[in-house]
Amino acid sequence: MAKQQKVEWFKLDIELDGLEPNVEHEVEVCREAIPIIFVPGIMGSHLRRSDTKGEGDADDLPNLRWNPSDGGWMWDHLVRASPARRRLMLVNTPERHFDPHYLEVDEDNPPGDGFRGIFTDYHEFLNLLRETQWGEISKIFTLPVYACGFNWTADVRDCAAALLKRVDDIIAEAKAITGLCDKVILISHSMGGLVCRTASEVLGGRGRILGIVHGVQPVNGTPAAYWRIKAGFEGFDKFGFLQKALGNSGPKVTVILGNIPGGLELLPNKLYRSTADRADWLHITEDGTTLLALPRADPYEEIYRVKAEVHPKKGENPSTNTYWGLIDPALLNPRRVVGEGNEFDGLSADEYDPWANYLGLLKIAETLHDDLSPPTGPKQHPQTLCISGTGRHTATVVELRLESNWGRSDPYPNQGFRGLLHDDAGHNRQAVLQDPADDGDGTVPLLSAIAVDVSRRPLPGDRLFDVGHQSAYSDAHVRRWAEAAIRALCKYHFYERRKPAAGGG
Amino acid sequence: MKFNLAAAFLILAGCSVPAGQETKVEYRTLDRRENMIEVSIGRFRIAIPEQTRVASRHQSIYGVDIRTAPFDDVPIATQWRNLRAQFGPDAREIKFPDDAIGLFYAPYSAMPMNLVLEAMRPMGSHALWVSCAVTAGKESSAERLVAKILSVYGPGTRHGFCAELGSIRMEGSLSESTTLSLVHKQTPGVKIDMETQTVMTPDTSTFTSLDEERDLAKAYGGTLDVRSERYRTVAGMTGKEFRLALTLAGKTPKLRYTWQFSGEPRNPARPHINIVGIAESPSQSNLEAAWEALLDSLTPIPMEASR
Repeated sequence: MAKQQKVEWFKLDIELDGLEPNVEHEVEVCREAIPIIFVPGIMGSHLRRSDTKGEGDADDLPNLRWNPSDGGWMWDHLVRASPARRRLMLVNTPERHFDPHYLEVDEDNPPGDGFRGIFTDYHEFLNLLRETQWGEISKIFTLPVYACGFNWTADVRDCAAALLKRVDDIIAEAKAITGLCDKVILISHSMGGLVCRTASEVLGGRGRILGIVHGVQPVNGTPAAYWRIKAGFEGFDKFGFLQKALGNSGPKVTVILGNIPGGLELLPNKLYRSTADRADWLHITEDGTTLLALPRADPYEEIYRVKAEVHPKKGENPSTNTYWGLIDPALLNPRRVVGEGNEFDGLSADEYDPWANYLGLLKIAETLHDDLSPPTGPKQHPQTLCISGTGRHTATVVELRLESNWGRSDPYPNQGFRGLLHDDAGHNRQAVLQDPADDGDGTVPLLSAIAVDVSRRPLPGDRLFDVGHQSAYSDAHVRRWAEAAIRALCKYHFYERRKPAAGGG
Repeated sequence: MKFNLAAAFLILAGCSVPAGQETKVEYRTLDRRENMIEVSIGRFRIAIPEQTRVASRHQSIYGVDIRTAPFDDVPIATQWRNLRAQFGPDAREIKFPDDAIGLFYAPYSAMPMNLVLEAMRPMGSHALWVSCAVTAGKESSAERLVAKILSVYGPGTRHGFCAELGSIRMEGSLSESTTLSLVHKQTPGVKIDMETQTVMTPDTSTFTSLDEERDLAKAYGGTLDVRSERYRTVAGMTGKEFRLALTLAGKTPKLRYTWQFSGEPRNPARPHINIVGIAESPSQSNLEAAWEALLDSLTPIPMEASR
């Protein structure tokens, strides 16, 4: 019987130890597994109430809490839900605050390939990757495909920690099968890019990651997050409705995104630029002239921590109400009226301050942004490849245009916002939120998407495509690029392995 | 407990429908004298067919959640001990009058300023449980408010702001809300949710937008059928009723009935009301029966006991 021995592929040209003369040896060459893990965008993961199987109802609500893959489910549970019910579905019970353990990804236990946990529209792309013939690469590498959904209501840092845990499990699983697996390739969509970069560069996971392929990542955030908190989600295709289910007006979106850290982490960070050298991205204009441009330096202090006062104070001419602040405190907890009523309404308003809760969540977002995008620039894995989308109207700058107001009194129409104010003479005016008009993928402006792009990356390099944000990976050109990016990373790994110092051979 | 028929006639007599807004809908006449269950929640009472059960309910007044629970399931001392154990030594226990006790705790360690005050008052065969969110530093306001709510609770649901086994008897709040979830016992897919919420301005934000509904159906490759759209007056409140059917490829058509009243400002007796019934198409008759019973029977509960 032959004596069996395993040898890792990159040690094939090294003299084998332990060979005996006059003995038959059978040497098995270990192929190396490089798992590909897809990390979806915000709202791209199915969520359920923690510690349930995502089936049935409990306490007035379905245990499954977010299921964009099923239009009927969305119609039943979210499309016409009130702000209070949306909060119940995604944030917490009425008198509790956000808790990262309230929801979890709706996936199998153990998660298997993880596909169950993500929006089924991603599956076509992932199945194509799974069926790809990798040619020469497959002689030494095997590339199993996984998905890793995440609880997008939670802090990106928590999601990244869960991703790293999943990476460890997948590496262990692949190693048990092939005998060799040290690193994975991450492919991200949108917010998934922030999760991947945090896992790699903030939480110390870089050594377990061969490279990251980013699609339409809001590297430095996107003013669309501000626009949508003020006005609701827009969108007319299936992906648009996925977002719209979260809310089509400021009150419906604020009650969700103002009460979870995940949504706030998509806001422009301190490195966001609307042009190469301008930090301001919120403009208040009148007759083509910009009256106020914010932020000058820090969007947290100048916009996010400023209470949105959407009505002018009585008798104040001109009014000074800060309608352009991000969050209207009155919208954070729709079940509670603040500042009016009897003695006990007063106590109710005093005992709990939703604004303080919001500031706490904002601090979580700011800390993440500062760690991930310090003044020296956005952190990124050394082996990064990115695509960005162009050709869609996108808010690089958000414009609030001052106009006369003949009787408008509702600041929050569906998919719109108007700050109400008085001029010097006491006439009613309104600052109307304008539709996005710059270039990008419809959500992420170009300058933010390309913020970690580098011109001399190996082929296929960082690229721009004429694609929309949500459906980026449905595009055939993007799919081909992603496949090429994976090949490029495998080749890089091949040469790294073969280096004497790194490979030991 | 059987439903009193008188209220339904009063409601129907008070109907007023804006001209030109009604489409014809035929409704079955239900026999409400038999086989009905009465449910009181917040400021309203309804009667539903016996084939329907309450899956869950929630009540909040002055921003404080209230619920009642009988003692027969888990002994009260055990329930309290479990809660106490869950939050460890950082939780702070406080005493209220009438043998009531409370606990301040921080449920999420990353946000220690966010506290919850949970309290319980034993009431003979059941207990009143209350809980509210509290910002650290504001514990005294929460204690005063919770003490008041615990003290004005009484068994029975003939007046006041009702939980399952009793009610809060005090001045109405600008912050009152309820949710009630009903399911059909034999057909679990038949479900009706009712939400009420006091408002400062009439709330039309949850009103059905048919254009959006149609766009959604189209986006998922389906069609939307508007079976009826009309104003309907319930308990003297004129709201809008929609009956929609959604058909998605390869799936059983779904029905959704909604009735939405936008609410009167600052009036706890006439809050924003949003009632949504869903079912798959083959279960339409079960949905219809529960829907009609609920809307026909919706009756205000007096704020105070009659003298």
